[in-house]
This record gives sequence, C-alpha cells and structure tokens, in this order.
Amino acid sequence: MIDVKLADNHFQPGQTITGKVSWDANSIRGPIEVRLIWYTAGKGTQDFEIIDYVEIAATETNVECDFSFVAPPWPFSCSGKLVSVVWAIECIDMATMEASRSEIVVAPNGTEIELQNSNASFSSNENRI
Amino acid sequence: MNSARNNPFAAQQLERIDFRFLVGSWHDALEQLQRMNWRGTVIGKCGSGKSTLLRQLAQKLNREVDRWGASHYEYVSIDKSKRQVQWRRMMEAIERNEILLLDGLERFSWSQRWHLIFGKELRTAKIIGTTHRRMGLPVWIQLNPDADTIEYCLRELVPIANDDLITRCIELFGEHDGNLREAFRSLYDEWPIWQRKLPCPTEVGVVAQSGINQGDSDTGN
Repeated sequence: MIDVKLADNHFQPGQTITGKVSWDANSIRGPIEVRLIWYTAGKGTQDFEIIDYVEIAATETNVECDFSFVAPPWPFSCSGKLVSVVWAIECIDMATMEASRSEIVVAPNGTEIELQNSNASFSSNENRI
Repeated sequence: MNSARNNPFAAQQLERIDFRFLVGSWHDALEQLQRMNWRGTVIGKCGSGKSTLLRQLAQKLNREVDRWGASHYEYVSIDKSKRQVQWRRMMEAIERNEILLLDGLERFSWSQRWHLIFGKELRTAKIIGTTHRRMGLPVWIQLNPDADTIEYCLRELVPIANDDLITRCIELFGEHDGNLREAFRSLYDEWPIWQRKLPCPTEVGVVAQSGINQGDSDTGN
C-alpha cells in the first residue's frame, strides 16, 4: 500500500507542492515513482501528461520520503459538463504498478475554474456591453 | 454542478470497472491462458469490454509476476497508421520471449495477421489479442454482455442505481446494437436528469469496466 499526504491541495501556478509518500515495505518492491500529472475526465478519450516526477528507491529501511514540485503555469484545473482538467500527485510502485493518487487544484487563487460559471459571467458581461 | 469529473459514466470511470467472470476467477482464467501457452484471443463486439479486459490482464501480470512467470510483456494498441513500426517492436518482443498483448488484431494487414497466426517462425509466439471474430487463434474468452452484466457494471458505476435506470441502460444497450460503452456514453449525457430521479444524492463510485466470460465452451487449445 502506498499513501500520499500533501501539505495543501490548492495551489497557484508557481507555488511549491510539498508532500510525503509512505509505503508498506512488505508489499511494495519499488522503485516508487512520484509524479505530478494532469489528465482530462469526461465523456471522451482521456488526455494525460506527466509534468514532473521523482524516483525513490523502496528498501526495507526506507518506507517514506518527502517530495516537492513546482506548480506549472498551465493548464488550470477546470470543470464543465463535458470535460474536467484534473491535477494530481500519483505514486506508483514500478514493480507492481500499484498506485495511489491524490487530486490537487492548480489555478489562479487555488480555486478550480467552473466552465459553466465562466460562460455565464462572460455572457452576462457581453449582454451589458 | 454536474461536472465531468463527477459524472459516473465518464470514460475513466468505465475503465475502472473490475472485470467479472461468469465462471471462475482471474486465477482460473490465467491458469487457462498458461495451459494455452499464452496464445489466445478475446472475442467480442465493439464496446463489449475487450480492451478493458486486456488492460486488466496486463495489470494482473504486473502484480503477480512470481506466480505466472510472465512479467515481461508488450502491450500494443494496434494503430493502422503505425502498424509497420508496431510490427517491428512486436518482433523484437517475441525474440525476447515476451507475451504480446495486442489490442485490435484486425487492424493488422492480412499478411501480418497470417504471419502472426500461421507463420512457421511465429507459431509458438505468446500472443493474446482482441478481435471481433475468430481468426485462427484459440479463443480464450468470448464477451457477450447480457442483462446481468449490464446491471453489474451499472451498479459498479452508480451503487444506488434503481430499476428505472437499469431498464434504461438495457434499452440503450439494445439501441446501440449491443455496444455497452455507447450505452454508458448516452447515460453520461442523461446523468443530470437521472441524478435528480435517484433516491438520494450520490457520490461517484470508484469503478471500472465491462465484460463477461462465456468462453468455456469456445476455448480451444
């Protein structure tokens, strides 16, 4: 079993994402790869990108490790009816492919953008003009 | 808000449905593959769960390396525009005695398929592929989702699914000519309506995929 703990889940681009990954030495063979990823969720085919990663050796004495990444400038976490862009920290035992994933938000103000609301406010502004 | 990430019929949720065998378990199915010298096909219509089964097989082989001695495999989703490159990659994998997991055997050219199945030099290659119809390799599993399978998958996606939703899913399955993936894609669009009809607010269940093993009588060796 792999466990990911993050100091925070909401980040602005450029901020540092820190956390700790721990694992059960009896079941995890390693190495463990900690990845900063984003992916799309929704009706269509999924897009997925690994933005950064660190590889950690899993030994009998080494059962946890700190990690840090820098939140990239884009894409922002957002969600609409058809698609969501989701950021996450993913930890994978590369020997067994057992994985653990913790979602985060990367966006201005650290708040996920709601595509429906964005459209609504754009339309209302347009109407005012 | 009915966001895509919370829609239980989103593509990534379908991928997580644990494959359920009508008869036996994953262990039995893998033993059967071993007896078949890791040479067989998964047969089924579009949207019946073939690719999902193959991907879950890859995960099983990864997780149970020691038991099956089959840790080394090459997973290839065959793409017509890349098949020459993929073919070379596959031949290299065969030389290394790896198991080939080939998604979409019919996307190879006729001559490539012939070599793969009947070619003297590849007759003992370990090949497990998905296809819509029989093509000379023994059948490992034949997928033919029925009402029970649909209900199982639906409840994996929406644990509080009621009879109306199940009936609607079966109806869509028929409308899409037995394509379960398409039936779920239609329910993706209908989800905001169903969400209001279901007995209580629901969180998306963590889930997975479709498929059913009806291949015992069809399995050749």
